[in-house]
Amino acid sequence: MKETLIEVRDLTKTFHSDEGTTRAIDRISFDLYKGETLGVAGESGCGKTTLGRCLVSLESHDSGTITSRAGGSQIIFQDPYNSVDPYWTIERIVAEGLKDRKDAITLLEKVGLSRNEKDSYPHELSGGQLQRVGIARALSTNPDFIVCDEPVSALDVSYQSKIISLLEDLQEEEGLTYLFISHDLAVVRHIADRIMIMYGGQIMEIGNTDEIINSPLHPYTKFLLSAVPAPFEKKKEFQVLDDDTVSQGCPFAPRCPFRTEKCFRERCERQDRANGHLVYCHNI
Amino acid sequence: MNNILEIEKLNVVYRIPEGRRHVLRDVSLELKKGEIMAVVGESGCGKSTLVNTIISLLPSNAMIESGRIIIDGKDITNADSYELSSVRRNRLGVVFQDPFSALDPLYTIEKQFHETIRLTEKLSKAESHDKAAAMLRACGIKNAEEIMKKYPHELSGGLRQRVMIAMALINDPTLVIADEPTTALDVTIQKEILQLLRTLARERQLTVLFITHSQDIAFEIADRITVFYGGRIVEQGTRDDLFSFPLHPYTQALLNTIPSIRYGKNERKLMPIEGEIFSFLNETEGCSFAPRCPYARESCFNKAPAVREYNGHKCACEMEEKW
Amino acid sequence: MKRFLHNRVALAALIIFTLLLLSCVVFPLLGYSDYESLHLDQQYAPISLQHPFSTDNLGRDFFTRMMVGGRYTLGLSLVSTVLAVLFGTVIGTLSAYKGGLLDRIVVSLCEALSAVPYILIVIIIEVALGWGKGYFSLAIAIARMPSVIQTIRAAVLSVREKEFISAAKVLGKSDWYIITRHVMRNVYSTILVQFCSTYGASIVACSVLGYLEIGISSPVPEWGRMVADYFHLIQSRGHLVSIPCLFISVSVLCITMITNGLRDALDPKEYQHE
Repeated sequence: MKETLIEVRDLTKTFHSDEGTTRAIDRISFDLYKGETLGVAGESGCGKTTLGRCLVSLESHDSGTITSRAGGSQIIFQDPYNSVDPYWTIERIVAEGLKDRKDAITLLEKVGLSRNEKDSYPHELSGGQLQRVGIARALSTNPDFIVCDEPVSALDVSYQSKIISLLEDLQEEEGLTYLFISHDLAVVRHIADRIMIMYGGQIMEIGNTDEIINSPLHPYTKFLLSAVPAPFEKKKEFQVLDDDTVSQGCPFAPRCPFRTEKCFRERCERQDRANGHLVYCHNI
Repeated sequence: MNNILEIEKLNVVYRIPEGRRHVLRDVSLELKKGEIMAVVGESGCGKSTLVNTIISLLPSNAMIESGRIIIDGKDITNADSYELSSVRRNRLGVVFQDPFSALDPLYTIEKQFHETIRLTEKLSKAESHDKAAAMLRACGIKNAEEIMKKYPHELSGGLRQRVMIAMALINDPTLVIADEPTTALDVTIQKEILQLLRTLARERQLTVLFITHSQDIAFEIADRITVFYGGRIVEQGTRDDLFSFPLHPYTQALLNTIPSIRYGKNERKLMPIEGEIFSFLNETEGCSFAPRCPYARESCFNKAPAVREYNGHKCACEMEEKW
Repeated sequence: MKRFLHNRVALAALIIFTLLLLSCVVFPLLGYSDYESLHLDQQYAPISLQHPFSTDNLGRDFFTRMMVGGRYTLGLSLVSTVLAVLFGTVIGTLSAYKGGLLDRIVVSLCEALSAVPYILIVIIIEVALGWGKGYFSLAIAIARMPSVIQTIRAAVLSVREKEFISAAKVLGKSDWYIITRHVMRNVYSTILVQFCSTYGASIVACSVLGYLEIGISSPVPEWGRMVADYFHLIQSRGHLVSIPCLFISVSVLCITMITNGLRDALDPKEYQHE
């Protein structure tokens, strides 16, 4: 029924530096369906940004496969000020991927900027407007699939909703598929059909947004949800341990209150629940 | 006279080549002892300038045009540098957004505590060591002895912020200013830091001015909340009042514009605030929010909005029919 | 550019230096070109139109020697600056952009080269390649190149991390396109500032080498060489030494001022509101 657009299998990416090697992504597998928004949530260092960059080939992966049926892939970045060349005019930025520069105006209007802005330079626009420029540039190649890497995190709150709404409208008009990366669970909840929770380079849990938010299975998901600030919300407290042993198995094991010795030794097998809800934990 | 911080009609201007621009206009607020007040606002709303004014660290092209700031009964507006440093030493504790740049990378944590303690008390190395260790433990650091031997770069972000809080509290300040202390942190660590601040505030009767850009964080931490927009206070009230009955159009719009963990896809339409954020380069005599306000009338653009108060809930808006 | 013109010191420096450079180009063309014929009967001739700066101990016109000397000092160091900045930019950019083994080799070479005193480098190159104006400029250029490479490399590294470079890659742009359209535009102010500061350093290097008679020998009136030539007269005819010294100092000072002006003009610190 659901058509798979991108199939990721056992994707691994290791970074080498002077201090040693770090596994940014550790053998992760998932499917991305056509027309959906898959939210990727997790804390810094969980590998979500590296995953996004791998999917648009900005980063090469060490092993595993990415099978894509998408006509084109694009990416929208977090920091609107760094994602445009400060010496280029807005029109030139948007036209960078176009054959005909005239189409830039159409794209600008599509993302809610006016024709008058085309000759401006980036420093004359606000963060919200620049993020629209970044979106217009991403749309210029008519992609099927867009990685949104924290597209609203650097914006002021009164611009956030506009960018979110714009992304939603564009998805409807163009039939786009999004991988929406964010550390802000409220934003992911709002925009995503499904959520993937990552920790330490591995997937902890993946499933429909409502299920993940309302009935999380993985201890880490519960912990993460308990930390989201939300007015008037009665939250379930979730205490974690403070241990810095290195785990060969589940990356969350050192802090997990339900851990067993097995968690440190063996990687968790995937457990399938109803509605495509997958969870990686030994103790459920 | 149990107000720890009193700000009266404060106006701060920046001198720029184009002339003088107001960054803070008629800002008045007071904090009672033991109260946590959150200041919420977007970039350019003046919240950082407010902090810099209180700790007297305004940039050289900025000046206080009028108004008074009274900390614990002491007027610091016209104080000389000797008095100022005495106020800073004895009455103020500041927690910055980025603990890494606020701590000196060349000294161990212990050494930095020692230097801080010595500003107010003549204690021996051993005594100040014990005092610092006790404070670190109070801030939830179990292996305090070990941490004190380390350098700032050896600590994780959350730990650094705890050290920063401990250092801000070490001299028993009467007023603690926390300037976006959790913005650089992950959400789970943010929660720990917020809980820590609340616990410490309750136990030690701390008075905290908490600056943040997020109304959700403000709700988690504060007793009362002040909302800033374009250099003015637009609304001020208890946390429950403000979230249940927002009065100012800007506050109302803010609450409807951010995604919430409670509502999923298609369950709620976000209501964006039209227009661009106020920039103090385009100075106006009227209400800063008027250009974006759906209810704005002509008078809003050229007359400063009057502040009305209802049971301690203040709002600066000319829209009388809402009252 | 407007910002630069508003900076009075830098503007004055630019005018003075341009006049100096122009006069070194123009006056030899107007007949002040014979710097080497001896007129032993005209020692220390009185100041006249023919001898605006009088003559030296061997009766050579001092003004002509100064102007022609300027052609050597300013000209040779200009050539070496162009060479150093041109190759330095290409090498620095490629090294930073490509990274990997190339980058490591370039960085190590630069470090090794900057550890050796430049006079030694010049001597080695001239001994190896030969003594001539061209090799002389090349030698100074090579001695100056490490610092150019290191500066350009650092600038390119910081631009390379910007997300608009990633965006261009995702749009399928080639490295050549990204370097020429994005990277160069973003480091152009660094290159300009590097050019000026390298020019200043090259003038000093050129004069020092002239003074030491390395690569340039009498009677070539290179300014540094002239200082050495007349040094034995410093007590009786001090101006013969001090005027070349003054010209060297003024040139270098002007270039330093221009560099500072450019740096301020091209690197605008916006007003910080929050």
